[in-house]
Amino acid sequence: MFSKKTVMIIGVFFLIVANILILSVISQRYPTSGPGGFTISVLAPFQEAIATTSRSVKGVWRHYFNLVLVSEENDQLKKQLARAEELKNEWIEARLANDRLRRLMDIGKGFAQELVYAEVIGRDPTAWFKTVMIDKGTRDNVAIGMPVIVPEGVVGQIVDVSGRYAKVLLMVDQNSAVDVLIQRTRARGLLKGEFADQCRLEFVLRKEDVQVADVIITSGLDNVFPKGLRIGEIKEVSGEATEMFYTITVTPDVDFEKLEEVLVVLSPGKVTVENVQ
Amino acid sequence: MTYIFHIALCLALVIFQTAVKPQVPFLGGLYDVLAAYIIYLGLYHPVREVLPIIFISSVVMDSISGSPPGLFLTAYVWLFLLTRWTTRIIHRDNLVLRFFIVAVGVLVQTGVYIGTTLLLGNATLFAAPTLGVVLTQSFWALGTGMILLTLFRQVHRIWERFLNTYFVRESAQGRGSGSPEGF
Repeated sequence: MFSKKTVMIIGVFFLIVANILILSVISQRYPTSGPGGFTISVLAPFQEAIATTSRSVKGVWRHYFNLVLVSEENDQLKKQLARAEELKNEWIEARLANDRLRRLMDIGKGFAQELVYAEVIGRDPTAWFKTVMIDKGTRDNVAIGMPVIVPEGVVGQIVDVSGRYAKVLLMVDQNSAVDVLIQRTRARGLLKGEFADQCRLEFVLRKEDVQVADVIITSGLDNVFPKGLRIGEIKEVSGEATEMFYTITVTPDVDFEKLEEVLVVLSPGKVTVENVQ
Repeated sequence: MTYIFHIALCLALVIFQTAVKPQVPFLGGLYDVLAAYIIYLGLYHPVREVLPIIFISSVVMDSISGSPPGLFLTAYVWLFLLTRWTTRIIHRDNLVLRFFIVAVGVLVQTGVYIGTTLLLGNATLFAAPTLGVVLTQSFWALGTGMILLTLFRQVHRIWERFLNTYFVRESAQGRGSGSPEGF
């Protein structure tokens, strides 16, 4: 009666109509329980787990990249900090050097004769002898026997010299001797080096008034050191009453372990210091 | 080449002692490391090789130090002779010997210094600070002496290996190819 094609068209038409009717009926209510709710309650935990994991992975990934960036930034900041520290240190050194040089210049103003500034470049290789090497020599008119001083007082004298360098025998070396005066009483004596960065004042007669903390200055009579340069203070006075001379220990004002710059007096002799100390 | 190596090492040690050591506060009590080198030479090297080195290093040390001239030469020659004499009794690789020999050497060197000072008429060296310095140096020598000896030996081995690798092989190749430079 009907062709196959007609049956197919009518079938499809009814299917569409039925579908529309079912959809229109179902869409009028929102199921909160039943099979839909069950499905949700089963699937949701997995969805939640996956979503949480995904968020965590994303978070880890993001933080990892952040950490990499922070680490790189940290490295850069550390380098900048190190450079800043280096600059700060250079600045502090420059300031300290400036202070020392200023003091050296001040001491130079008190001298009538020419002074040469020199830097200490080396020390004695053993603990038994006290010498330092300086970076000035015969090219700078430095010669053997010239006195070497710092603002605090006497350092020593040149004992060996080459073209560009010289060796200074420190006042505290056991081979050193300086003619000195006790400033308060003008008593004269000979200051000799001792082992432990201190000196021994010899040939001071017992009739002289000598007290601890008396200041020792150069006498200028040895024709090496200018008169009036401060050397140090008396630390200890001893000796038997029957002896002719005191036994006196003197602590120098100069810290020989920290010598960095010195002045060489180019024309020593009988000269007076006008403005030092 | 060996002499150049020894002299270069001695100069490096002298520079270390005069310019580097004073800048490092905790090294203040360190002994004369050149003396340790002389002891090493006495232990492991022939006399003909050592004597010129002792002479040159002594001259250098005497020049830059405030010591009386010839003091270091005296000290180093004595150190060398005593080391040689010791190796006749005890084997040079003996651990006890290697542990103590530098400390003993430092004491011998100090003895030479003090003897010379006494001869020069200055007895103030026998003061409490002297004892402190001697003790400090001896402890340093006990702590580092054997390490230094081993270090010197290793450095010398590396140097000899370097020489054998480059110079001996080159000269052998030169001989093999008939090159005049090989002879």
